[in-house]
Amino acid sequence: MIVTLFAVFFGLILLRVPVAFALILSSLLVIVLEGLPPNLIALRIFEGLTPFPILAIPLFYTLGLLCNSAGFTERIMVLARALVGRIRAGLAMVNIVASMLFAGISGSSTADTAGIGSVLMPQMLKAGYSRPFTVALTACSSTMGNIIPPSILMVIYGAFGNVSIGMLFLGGFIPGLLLGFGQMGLVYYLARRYDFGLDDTGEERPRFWRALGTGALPMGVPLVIIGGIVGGVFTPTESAAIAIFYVLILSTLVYRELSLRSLGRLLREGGRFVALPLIMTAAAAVFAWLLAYFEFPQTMVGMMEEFGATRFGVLLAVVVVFLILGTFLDTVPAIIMFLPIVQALGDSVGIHPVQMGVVVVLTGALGLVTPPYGVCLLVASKIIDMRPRQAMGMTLLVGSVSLVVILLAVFIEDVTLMLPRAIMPRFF
Amino acid sequence: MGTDTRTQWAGLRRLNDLVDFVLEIVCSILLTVMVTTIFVQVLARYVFLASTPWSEEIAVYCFIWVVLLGTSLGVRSHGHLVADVLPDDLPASVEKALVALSLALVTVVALVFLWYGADYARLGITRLSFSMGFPMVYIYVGMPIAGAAMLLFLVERFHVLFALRAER
Repeated sequence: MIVTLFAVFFGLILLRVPVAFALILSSLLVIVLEGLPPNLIALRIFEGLTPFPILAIPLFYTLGLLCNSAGFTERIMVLARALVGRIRAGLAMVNIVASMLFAGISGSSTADTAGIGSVLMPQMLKAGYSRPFTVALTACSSTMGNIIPPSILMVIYGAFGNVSIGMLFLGGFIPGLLLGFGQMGLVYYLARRYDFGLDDTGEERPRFWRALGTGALPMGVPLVIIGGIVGGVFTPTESAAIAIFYVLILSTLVYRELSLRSLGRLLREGGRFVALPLIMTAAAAVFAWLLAYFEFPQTMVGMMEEFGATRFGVLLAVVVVFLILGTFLDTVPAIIMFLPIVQALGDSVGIHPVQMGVVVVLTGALGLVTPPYGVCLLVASKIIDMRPRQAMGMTLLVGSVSLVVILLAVFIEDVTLMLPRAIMPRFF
Repeated sequence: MGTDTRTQWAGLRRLNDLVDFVLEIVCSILLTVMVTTIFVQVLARYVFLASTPWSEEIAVYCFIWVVLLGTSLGVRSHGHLVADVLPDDLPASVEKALVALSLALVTVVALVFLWYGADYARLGITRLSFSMGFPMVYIYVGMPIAGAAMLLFLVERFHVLFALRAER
């Protein structure tokens, strides 16, 4: 039955059936073959949409859209320019640092790509960066949106895997910083080695203190979100709603940049598109429930034990599987479908659930850029009308930084566990 | 006869434009309600020191409706994610056959939403929500409605697919 389930699912996505519907159809077929009642599909979809933490996902998407149209993203870029604009390959550095700052506000990588890319990518091209490099860097830096807290992927992992979302957020902090500084190091090296990035767009660089002032209010958002969650003041879902109102009030009363018309457009866009990742989430939950029904996680644990797997072995296997899945499957369903298996394996060899979660999210975030199917890469290449395939080599080069960070998170427990342990010790 | 069927198809397109518009507005309103109730929940807890057991439930149910209706909207706007494993330079005929097959399979999903969704919604008539105690059928009925909207949009997409083939 499990073979049928997987075979039908992969067959359907090969036929270009949308992933959400392929999940539903393959699950339905197995439900019927098993003689279970078919309205189980409806039951499981509703169950998949009911946990309160999931509501954080549409809210973080909306928050990302809002930041892009309320002038928040531009202010963040002013701040980034003041911080690193003077370094060699300044625009590329600004791209990375702006993504890091944006990541602290929004949990959505695609909002990061779209918001920062649409402003910075044309500037980078004008300053003489190559098109593939510009696309690859924008896409890869925006994966941090899901690693530096808050993070939609971590909300999903925590909600479906019963792991504290606050701890996952804290666990992603150090890997996120490593990733950002690693990418900056790589860009600096490349700029020196291949002699590029002596850019001057002619734009005046903002004065440091003034830029700090400009960026101060937007950077209140991460403070509210992270502080609120870690301090136990509110849940991740609530923090997203508070952040939305914070941005709304700032942008209407202080900046006066958000018109009622653009707010209406934003809500209509949001109302329309938040459903798309979420129906995949619910459909993947049906699939995962079936895997559990057939006791597939236990089978896998048995196989791994026979194989004599160690902690590192299990972690590396998980990384490899998610790297392969990430190339052709969207990250959200991939995480949910395999979460019960991943957790059962992790528990059997004593890996801390937070370490496992962060490693899965790190690997899944890399899947957002790996061709042929990487959403962030698609969004970034669309901004400058390039075929994603042309940026493949460069993406792999910049993405290699992510791979190094993943390996660090696998082999050094403290990379992921030090902060949660220090800040939320009562949960250990 | 030609003009007759053409106006009929134009009628379907206008109907779908209307359905699309209405669903989009409903979704944006539900999204707004969702954000606001969650905000009010926090406000109530810390400012008015009152707990609001209804707020979480309202937010979750708005959310379920948004997802179901948005799923059908995605069928019209080609919004649903497709994993592009096959090369994109296939012959046009193969390409068209693939689209038709995939649309047919999505139609199966729409029928499942409609039929088994309605079947499940019937169970919701006697089932009451946890904290507010209203019948769950008001939530569950979103699924057959989404299924019906999907069917409308699918007929249109089939028509576009085959009408274009006839013209070539």
